[in-house]
Amino acid sequence: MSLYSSLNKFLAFAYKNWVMSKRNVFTIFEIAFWPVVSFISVGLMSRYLSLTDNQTAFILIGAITFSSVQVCQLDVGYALLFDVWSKCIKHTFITPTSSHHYILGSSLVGSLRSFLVLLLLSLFGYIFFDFNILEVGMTPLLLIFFAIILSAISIGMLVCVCVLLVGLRAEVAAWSIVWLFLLLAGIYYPPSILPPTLQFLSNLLPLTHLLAYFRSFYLGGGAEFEILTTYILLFIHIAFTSVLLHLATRHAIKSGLLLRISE
Amino acid sequence: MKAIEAEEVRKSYKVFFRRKEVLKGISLEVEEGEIYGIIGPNGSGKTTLISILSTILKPDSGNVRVLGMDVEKDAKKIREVINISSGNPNFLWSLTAEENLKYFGMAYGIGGEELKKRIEELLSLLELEEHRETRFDEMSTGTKQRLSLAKALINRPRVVFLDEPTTGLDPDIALKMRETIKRIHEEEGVTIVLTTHYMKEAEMLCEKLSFLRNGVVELEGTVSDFKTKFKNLEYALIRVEGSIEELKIPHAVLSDGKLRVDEIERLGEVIELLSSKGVRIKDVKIREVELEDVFIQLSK
Repeated sequence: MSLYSSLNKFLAFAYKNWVMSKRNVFTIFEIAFWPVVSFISVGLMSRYLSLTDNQTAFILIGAITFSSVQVCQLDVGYALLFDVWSKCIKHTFITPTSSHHYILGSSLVGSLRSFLVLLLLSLFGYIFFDFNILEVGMTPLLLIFFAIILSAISIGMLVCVCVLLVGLRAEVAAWSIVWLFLLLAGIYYPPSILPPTLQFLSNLLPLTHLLAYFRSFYLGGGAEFEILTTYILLFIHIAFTSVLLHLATRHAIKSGLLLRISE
Repeated sequence: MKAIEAEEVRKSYKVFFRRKEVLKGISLEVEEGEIYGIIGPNGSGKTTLISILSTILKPDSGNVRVLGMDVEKDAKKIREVINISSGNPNFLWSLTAEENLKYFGMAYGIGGEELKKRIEELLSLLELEEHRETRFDEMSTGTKQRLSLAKALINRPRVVFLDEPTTGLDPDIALKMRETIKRIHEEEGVTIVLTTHYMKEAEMLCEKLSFLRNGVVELEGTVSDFKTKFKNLEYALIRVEGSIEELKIPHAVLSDGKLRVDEIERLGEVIELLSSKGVRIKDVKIREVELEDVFIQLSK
């Protein structure tokens, strides 16, 4: 298989997500409305509670990270959900593509949308809440953004696993799974306030360590090892979800689910 | 080379707590370059079989080879050289005809000028030029079917599976579609495996047929093999002058004011008898067996 052919296969899924998103009115809501409303709400809440600058930064970082992950993971989930909603998933699976083509292709558009969310929220943070994301520095910011995309990919892959296991009923997973991370990773609070069992689970999530790294630029504390942990955990999560995705694909082909959700 | 070789293919689905066997040991062979039809009543297993042959459903047991490659071990290689079009087609709803073809073309690894050229060829071949900018959800059923056929040819496949390609089409559009399938087969030299409910379609297109019932191939052969096998369904109708109500002719029965002879080999005898009784024969028509008759007979 040539590199050119593989590149086209990967771009096919980016193209699909791009055109479908372009014509979907919800795209505006996903990028601008919901993240901005949520961001401004928590920012105003921090004002009302008279939080310090550091405490405000703590919360705003959680809101920015969560929204950026959420919008990108939706795109990865859409790689299959658009086909399920269109009832044409069998036509996608009869093409000589693999899961890495549709995951990476859709995450390309997801990265763009995630970047827009990050940019928009950072701008609002700067204008309304004196929060300057550039304090982090360019290289750490790139590391953070890349980790956000990889986190979104691993969550989006879980959505794809659900689609291939239960079909259309899994669409709720596209919007729900990420909220579990909201609870466990400590988006708006430090994971140390969680019960011990949940703290243990929280420590296994890359997002927890990514937030710790991101926040360390505002709250102090040497957290260089946090970014390393983030990437190690991301590698493990993606490897694990890849295996799950492979098994789920086999299940969908063996059980006939692929055909049932195409009718 | 054989385009398709299937041996003892079995498939069952889990329905609540029981397993329902849909294919019960199907074997068939399709030569490269031929149009092979799979016919049979609803629920006979046609779509299940075509899905297994096209690698999107795994059989429980049996061997299936497409162009010499195993459907399980070489699924990805097979997918490079096959494609499928289904009746009642569905594609991405907000993409236009051209965009849908572009997406699928790219998914087959085609890009750049080559893809553009192929899309233009197919839009022209399937007379879809005026619909290139039409969104899929705004297309008529006929246009959707033609787009589905165009998509099935985007990668210049060696084997195309057409699952009930004219379902739901008006008779004139269905006829046009069949002519297009025939033309594509001639021009592109592609092997076509199609399932259909329409016996006229099978008769017009297929060089060889399999009749499936309850997950079993009940009969396989050419259209003429099918007809020969059921030659006993042929009959003759004799129209005579005057009243035939009181005529008592052995081997002939009254049918709609005509005499019907079911045993064709006795037709001569009947005509002689009529002549000897001074009955003038207006005409004799032999009603040959049609595939539809065979289908009804086999489905009983």
